[in-house]
Amino acid sequence: MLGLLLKDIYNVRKQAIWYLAMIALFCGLSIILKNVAFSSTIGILVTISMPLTAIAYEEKDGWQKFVVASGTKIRTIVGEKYLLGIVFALVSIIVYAVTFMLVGETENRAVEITAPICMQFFVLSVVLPMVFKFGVERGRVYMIVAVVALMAVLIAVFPLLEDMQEGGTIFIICACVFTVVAICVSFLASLKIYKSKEF
Amino acid sequence: MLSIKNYAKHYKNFDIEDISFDIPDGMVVGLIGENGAGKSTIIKSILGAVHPDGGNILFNGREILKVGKKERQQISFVLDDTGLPMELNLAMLDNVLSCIYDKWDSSKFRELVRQFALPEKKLFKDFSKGMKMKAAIAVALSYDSTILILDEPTSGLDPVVRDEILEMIYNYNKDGNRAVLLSSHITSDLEKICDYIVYIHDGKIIFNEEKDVLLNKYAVYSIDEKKLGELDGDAFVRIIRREYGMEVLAEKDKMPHDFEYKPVTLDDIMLFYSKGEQIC
Repeated sequence: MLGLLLKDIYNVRKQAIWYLAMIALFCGLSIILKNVAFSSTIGILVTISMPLTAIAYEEKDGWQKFVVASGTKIRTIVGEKYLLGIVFALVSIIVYAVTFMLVGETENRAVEITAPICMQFFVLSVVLPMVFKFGVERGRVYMIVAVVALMAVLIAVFPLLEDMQEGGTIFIICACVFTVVAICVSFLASLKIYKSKEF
Repeated sequence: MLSIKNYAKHYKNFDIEDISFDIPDGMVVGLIGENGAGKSTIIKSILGAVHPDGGNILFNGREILKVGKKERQQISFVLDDTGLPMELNLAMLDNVLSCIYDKWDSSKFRELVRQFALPEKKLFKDFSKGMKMKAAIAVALSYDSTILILDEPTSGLDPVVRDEILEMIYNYNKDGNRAVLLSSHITSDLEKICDYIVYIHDGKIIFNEEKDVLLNKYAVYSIDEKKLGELDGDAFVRIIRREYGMEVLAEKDKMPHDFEYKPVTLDDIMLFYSKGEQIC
């Protein structure tokens, strides 16, 4: 898996710099406007864009055929794309957490931190099987629809989260469990899709 | 040894059926056929990138789909589009592939890169077609394999680069028991290095024979309609009618010895089978 991850990082290195700059910009906006929604939404975008860009390169180069022929297990090939998304998610989460602390006005911090992070992983779990199934070109259309819908939900729900003083812990636990289940189901679905694919 | 037995693959408008041939240790097998005949599909099935609808592909007697990573990496390959990541350079590729292949030999890879005069710092996307193919061959030769599979490695390349690539294939095969499966529609390349020829036409095997036997068995005759009627019909394989007369692909042994003929090439055989008529 290390080889595949390394290959993807080499492949997306130019885009990664742009996305890091965008994370910094959106976090700066969050701090200036005292609204962490900017910082959380860019996290979602980065989490899905990096694996998507990597898959787009693979489709263009015919790498998928190469890696299957190299004897690498399908589980490893699929798992690496989730790992790539998670790596970039973690980067944006760290920046988000720092931004959150700097803005530091809200009272119910745990809920507001957890919800966008869970959303990031949830979007990843929705998008990756779609891209594996339809390819990047067609998958991108479905992905945009899914991301816009989820972002709208996040922005709509954000004010409610601030009011969620009671039952906050239950919400966090439910959100985390839901996210983990979504990632696991998504991974199994992607595995099934990839095994039936031909290159 | 790699064996393909009764391989079948069905598409909406095209079927590949009943394909059986072996790639014995130490031999070079050439897979010929027109564009779209099914060569690449068969190769991709051997490599696991296309799922067969029937038959078996056996590697050292075991079903290839059940073979583990270690054994699978005894098969090295060169794809028609190379499949290498175009945003990487050779140094990056060395780092990546050393993590993917259990028996990756970095020093051998660097040596081949130098031998092929490939630029280490340049990105693949900036390589010429010939350089890309040489890089793909360098990759294929940099881990310990027992069989090399190449899909159209010389297609679209100039004669000098083609010759260099054939030399590399020859060197791979010459020492020991290593086998090669080489697919191409440039049959002159195959005539130079192949031991066996498998001809696929329209998804079916037309013949699977030793190259020397094949080239000695058949010949091309230019004859007219009158003479055609006088000769043994069993000798004729295919006929092409042209404005200036007829050309016949025939078995030499069954033809009169005083008849003038032209030695056959693989190109001729392909042409006769795809364009010629059969005489019953």
